[in-house]
Amino acid sequence: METLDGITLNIWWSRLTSIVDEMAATIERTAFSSVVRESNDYCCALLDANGDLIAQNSKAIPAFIGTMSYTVREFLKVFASRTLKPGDVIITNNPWIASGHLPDLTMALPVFSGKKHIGFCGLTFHMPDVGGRSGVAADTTDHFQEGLKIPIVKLYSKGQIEKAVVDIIKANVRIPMEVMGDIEAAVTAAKTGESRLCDFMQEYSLSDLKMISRSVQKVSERAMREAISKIPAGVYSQSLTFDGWDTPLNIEVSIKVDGDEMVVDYSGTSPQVDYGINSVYNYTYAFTIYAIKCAVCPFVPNNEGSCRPIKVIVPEGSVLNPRYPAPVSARFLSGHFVHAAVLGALAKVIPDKVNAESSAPFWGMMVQGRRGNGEIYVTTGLLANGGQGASALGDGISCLCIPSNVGNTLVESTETTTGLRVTEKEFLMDSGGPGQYRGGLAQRVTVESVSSYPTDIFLLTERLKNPARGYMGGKDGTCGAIFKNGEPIAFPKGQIRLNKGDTVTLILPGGGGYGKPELRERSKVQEDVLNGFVSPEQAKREYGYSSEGHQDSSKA
Amino acid sequence: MSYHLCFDVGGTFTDVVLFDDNTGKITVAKVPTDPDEPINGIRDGLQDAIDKANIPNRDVQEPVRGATTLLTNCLIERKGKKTALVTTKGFRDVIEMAREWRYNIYDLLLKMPEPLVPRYLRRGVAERMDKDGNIIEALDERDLSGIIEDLKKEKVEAIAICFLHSYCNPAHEQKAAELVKKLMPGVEVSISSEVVPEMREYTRCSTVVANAYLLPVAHAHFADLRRELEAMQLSSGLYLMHSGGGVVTSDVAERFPVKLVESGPAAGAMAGMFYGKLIGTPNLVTFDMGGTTAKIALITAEAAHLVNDFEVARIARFEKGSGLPLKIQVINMVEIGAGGGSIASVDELGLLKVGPISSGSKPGPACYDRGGTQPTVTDADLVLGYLNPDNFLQGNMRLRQDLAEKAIGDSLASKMNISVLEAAAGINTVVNETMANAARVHLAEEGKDYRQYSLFAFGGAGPVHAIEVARRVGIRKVICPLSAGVLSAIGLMATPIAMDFVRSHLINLSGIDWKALEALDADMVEEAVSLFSSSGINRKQIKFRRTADMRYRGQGYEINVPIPEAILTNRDANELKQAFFKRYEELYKRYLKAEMPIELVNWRLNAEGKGSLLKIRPRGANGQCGDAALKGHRPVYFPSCRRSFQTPVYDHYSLVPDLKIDGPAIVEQRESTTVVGPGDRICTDSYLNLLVEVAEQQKLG
Repeated sequence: METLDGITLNIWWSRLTSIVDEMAATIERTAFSSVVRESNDYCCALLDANGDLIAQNSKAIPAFIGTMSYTVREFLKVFASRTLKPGDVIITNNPWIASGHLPDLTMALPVFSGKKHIGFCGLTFHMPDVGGRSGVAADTTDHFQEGLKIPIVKLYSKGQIEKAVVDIIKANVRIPMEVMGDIEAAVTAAKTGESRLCDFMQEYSLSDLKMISRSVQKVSERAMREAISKIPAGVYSQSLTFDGWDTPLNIEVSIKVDGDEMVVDYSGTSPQVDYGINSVYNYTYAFTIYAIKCAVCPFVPNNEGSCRPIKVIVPEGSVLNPRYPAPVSARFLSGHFVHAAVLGALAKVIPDKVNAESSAPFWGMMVQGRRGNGEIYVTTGLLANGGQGASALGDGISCLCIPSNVGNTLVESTETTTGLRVTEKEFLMDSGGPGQYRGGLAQRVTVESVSSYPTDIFLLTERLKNPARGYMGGKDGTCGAIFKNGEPIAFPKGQIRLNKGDTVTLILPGGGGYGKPELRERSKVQEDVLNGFVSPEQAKREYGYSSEGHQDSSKA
Repeated sequence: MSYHLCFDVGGTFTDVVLFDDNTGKITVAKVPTDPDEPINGIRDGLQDAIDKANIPNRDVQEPVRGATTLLTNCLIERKGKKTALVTTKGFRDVIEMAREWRYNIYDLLLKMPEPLVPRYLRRGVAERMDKDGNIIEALDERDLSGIIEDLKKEKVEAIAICFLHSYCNPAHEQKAAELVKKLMPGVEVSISSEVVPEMREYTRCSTVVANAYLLPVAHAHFADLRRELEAMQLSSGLYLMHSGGGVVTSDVAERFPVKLVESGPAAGAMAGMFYGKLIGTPNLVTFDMGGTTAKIALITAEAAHLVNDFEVARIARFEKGSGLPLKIQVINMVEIGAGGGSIASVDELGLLKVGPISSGSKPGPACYDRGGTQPTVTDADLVLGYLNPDNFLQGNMRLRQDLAEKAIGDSLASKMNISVLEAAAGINTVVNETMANAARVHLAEEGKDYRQYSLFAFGGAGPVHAIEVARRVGIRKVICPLSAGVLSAIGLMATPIAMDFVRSHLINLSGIDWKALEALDADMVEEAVSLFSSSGINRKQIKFRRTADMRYRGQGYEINVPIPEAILTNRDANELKQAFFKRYEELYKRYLKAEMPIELVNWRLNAEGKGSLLKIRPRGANGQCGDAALKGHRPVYFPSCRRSFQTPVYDHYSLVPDLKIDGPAIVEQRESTTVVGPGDRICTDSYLNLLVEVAEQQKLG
C-alpha cells in the first residue's frame, strides 16, 4: 500500500499536530476545571474514520496514551460510521471504556469530507465535578458512590443539543454551570479542530485521511520495533509493594523482550480491593506504554503503530484490571506505581536509562466547603509532589510530578479559592535517598482552616509505609506522613472534616538515590549541606563527610 | 537641524543609525559587540556613524536611544552578582519548587533551570498578610535584622523581597526594604509589590528575583554608558527600549532592568508598526527570521499585541517551561527554533526535520567554508539559487555552493534516495511550513483572521522565505522594507516613551467598588506622571489607556480586556461586562451564559508620551527602472512549481518608486534577499519598499 515520503509526511503531520495543539490551547484557556488548565489533565487528538490515532497534542499527560482510540472504537460500535452526521458529538465517562474514572469525559466529533465520514476530533478532559462523594476519593466502597456515569450517548445530534442529556448532567453535579461550561469549552475546541482539518484537506485536495494515517502508523511502528530490538532478549521482572488501602498491595511485572517485540505481564499482582484505588486496564496499559517509551524511545509518537509491538497482559480481577463495578475513583493511587515497576524491570537490562523510584503518586486534598456567602465550592484544593528518583545522569529533582504531570496549586490561589490558609511549604531536609546521585527532596506543607463553615477534605496519599527505593546501591527516600493538629491521621486516604483553627500537615515522600553514596562527589555533598538539602549528621552518616569540609577517612 | 542616534546591541554586532531630520538621510555603522565590555561597541559605533555623517558630536542634541541584549544574556549566562531572597517564613523554596511539573514528559533524565538564588541565600522572615491584605502577623524586624547581618557576611550585592499577598498590601515589603537599606547601605533592593504587584507567588517571586539579580549589572552598565556619552558630548540623555514596545529613560531602566529583557525583539516589532502606519497597512504579521530563530508578532489596528507573561533563559531549546518565568509586559511573539543556520536531518522516523539545532556562527552553514559539514537552511537556499554567493553580507563572505551540495547530498539526499535539488527543496518547504504553522496558530490564538493581515518581513533570512510562508498561510500581501538591515534602530526612533502599570484587584463585577478602583487608578496615574516628568513630559502630554484582566469566576486564565475610556466616570459595571463578552467572543468564538459571575483580577494602565520622531521621506516617482537595477539572471528553483526558472536579479537600492515587476524575481539588499515566485508581483512604493502581491496557493501535493 502506498505511503507518503519523508518530506510530505513531516509537513502534513506537523500541520495536524499544530491543529491538535490549537484545540488544546482553546480548552486550556476556557476551562473551569483547575486540573485541565493548570495540570494538563486533558488530551486532544485527531483520529481516522476507524478510530486510529493520527495526532495527539504534545502536552497530553500519560494517562491518555492509547485510551482515546479504544474509546472511539467503542463509540463506533454504538453509532456506526455510516450513521454519523455532521454536527454530532458523542460522549462517555464510563471508566472501563474511557480513561479510568468518572471525572474524565471523552468526547468525539465526527469530521466529514462532503458526505463521507473521514475521521474524528477527540478530547478527554477532567470535569470540575461529577457528583458522588467527591471528584476523586479513595474511600469509595462501590462504583455507584463515585458519581454520575454517562453511557455512550450523543450530546449533540446534527448540531442540536440533546436537552435530556444536559438536564441529567446538571441535576447530578454540585456546580452545574462550571461543568456545562467545560463541556461546551470542549465542544468549541473540537469544532476548532474540525474546521482546521477541513481547511487542511481542501488545501491538499485530500478526500480522506487513509494515506496519512497509514503512513503515520507505519513509521511509528518501525521506529518502535527498531528501538526494542536494541535491548538484549530476555525476561526482566520486578516486584513492588505499596501501602494500598489497609493491607499492602503488590505489583508483579515481567517484561519479555523477544526480537522487536515485548510482552509485559502483570500475573501475580494483588487482587482488586473494595476501595476506590483500583486501576482499570486502560489506565494500566497507558502507564505501561508510557514507561517503556520513556526508557526505550521517547521520540516515537503515540498511536496504534507504536503500541503494536508491545503486548500488555493484566490478570482480570487484579488491582490493575478490576472487574466492573469495582470502585475506581482514585485509580492513580495504584496506577501510578506501574511506572516504577516497569522501570524497575528495565533497570535490570538498561540501568542507565531509568530513574530510581520516585515518590509518585502525587498527593492531593480534594476540598469541599462554602464561601463566605454560603455558596458551595468544590476544588482540587491542593496538589503537591515529593521527590523524583535519581538516575545515572544526576540527582532527582525535588518536588516533581512523575509519572503524571500535574502542577502544584499555588499558595495564593489556594487561599483565594478555599477557606484554607497555607502556613508552610518548604523542602524537607534529608528526605532524598542518599546515593552517588541523590534522590529529589520532598516537601512539608501545612494548611489551616480559616473558614467559619466546616471544610471537608478527601485525602489522597501513598508511600507512608513503603518508601521510593534506591537503585544500584542508592538508598531509599523517606516515607510520607500526615497529621491533623499534630496527631497522625488514622486513615490517610479517607475523609476528614476541618473546623476553624484545625491544621493538616503533609510530609511527602522523598525520591530514591542512585549508586552508592560513598561515590558521591565531595563538592556535591558540601553543597547539599550548605543549602540544607542534607543535614551535617546525614552527610556524616551516609556520605562519610564532616561539615568542617574534611572527609571522614574511615568511610571514604 | 536635528540629528538622532540609535544603537542596538546584539549578540554579534552592535548596529548604530544616525538620522538627519532635515534631509531624511540615514547613516549606518556596524561594529562587533564585545561581550565583556559592551560599552566599547556602543561608543565606537556611535562615533563611527557621527564621523561618517561628517557632523560635530555636539550637533546631536536629541537623547540617544538604545536596545540591548546585555540583560538577557546576563540571565542566560548567569553573569549577575550574588543575590539573596527574603520571603515570608515557610515559603523560601517556592522559587525552586516552581510548578512541580516537567516541561518534557518523555525525558526521564531532564534537568530543571537552577534558581538565580541558591537555597542558602534564601531566608524566611516572620510576617503574614491574609488574602485581603490584612496583617495577621506583624513583620518581625529583629528576625529580619539578624537575616540582614547574615547576608552581609555573605557579601551579597542585591536582595529581592517577596512576601505572600504583598500585591494587595505592600506595607511589609516596603518596611523590610527600608531596613535592608539602613543596615546594608549600597546593596540593591527590589520588592515584588513594586516590580509586579500581581497575584500568584511563584511568577511574582521569579520576576522580582530576576530584577534584583540584574540591578547591580544594570546600574553599572547604564552609569558607565551615560559617562561615556557625556565624554562624547552627547549629553541630552539616554532612552532605552523595554520589552513592551516603549522607550523609558535610563533611570527607569535602572530600577526595572527585568523589563528590558526583550528590548531588541520589541524594537523590531515596533519598526513593523511604523511601516504599517507609513504605508497604510494597519494589520501586520511581523516575520523576523535570523540565523538561529524566527520571531512572529501581530500588529492589529496599528498596535502591537501585548501579553504579560514571558519566559527567559530556557535550558532546553524552545521548550516551554524550561526557563525562568517573568511577569512582565512583552510584545506577544512566538519564537520558532528555525533560522538560516538551522540544521536539516533525517530523524529516527525517517522524516526530514529542520532545527532546532543550529550550526551557529561557528562553524556555520557548510557553504561558509568554516568547517561546517551539516546541511542548513542557508545551504538549501544557496543550492536553490535564492542567494548570490558573491553578495552575502555585503559581499564580505563568499559562499561555496559545492560544499552546500555535498552536505545536502551526504546527510540527506543519499539517505532519502532523492536528488540534491529535491532535498534542498524539501528543506525549504519544511522550514516554510514550520513558519506557516506557527503563524496560523498564533493568529488563531489571538482570535484573528489571516485574510485581514499582511506579512512584514525582515532579518537576514526573512525576505528569502516570507512570500512562500505567506502563501501557505493564505496571506496575500508581503512587505519587504528597504532598510531591512537596520530595522531595530528604525523601531527605536518610531517608539514613544511608554510605561505600563498594574494593580491586582480581585472582585466580582456585581460587587464592584468604584471608589477603590478609582483610587488605585489614580495611584498609577501619579506614578506615571512622576516617572514621565524626568523626560520633560507633563501630565497633559501623556495618553492613558486602560485594560483589565478578567475571567468567569472559577476560570484560572484571565483575558486582557480593553476598557472603555470613560468607565471611571460612568461607573457602569455593565459596560465592563460587555467589554469582557466582546473580547471573549473574539478569542473563543462564543461567550458563556450571561448570568455566570465575572471577576476583575488586575487593573492595568498604559501611559504613552510623544509619538514617533521618525520622518522618512518619499522619493520622487518615475516608474522607470534604470538598467543599473537589473544585475543579471540566474536559474532559481521554486518547489511549488517543481522546476527552475531563469530569473532576473535586481539591486534593491537602484529600484525606483511605482515600479511593477512580475515574478519570478530576486531582489538583493546588503543584508538580505527577497525571493519572489512565479505569479507573484512586486510593486515598489514611494519609499522603495517592496510590496509583493502573493499569488494564490496552487494545489499542493
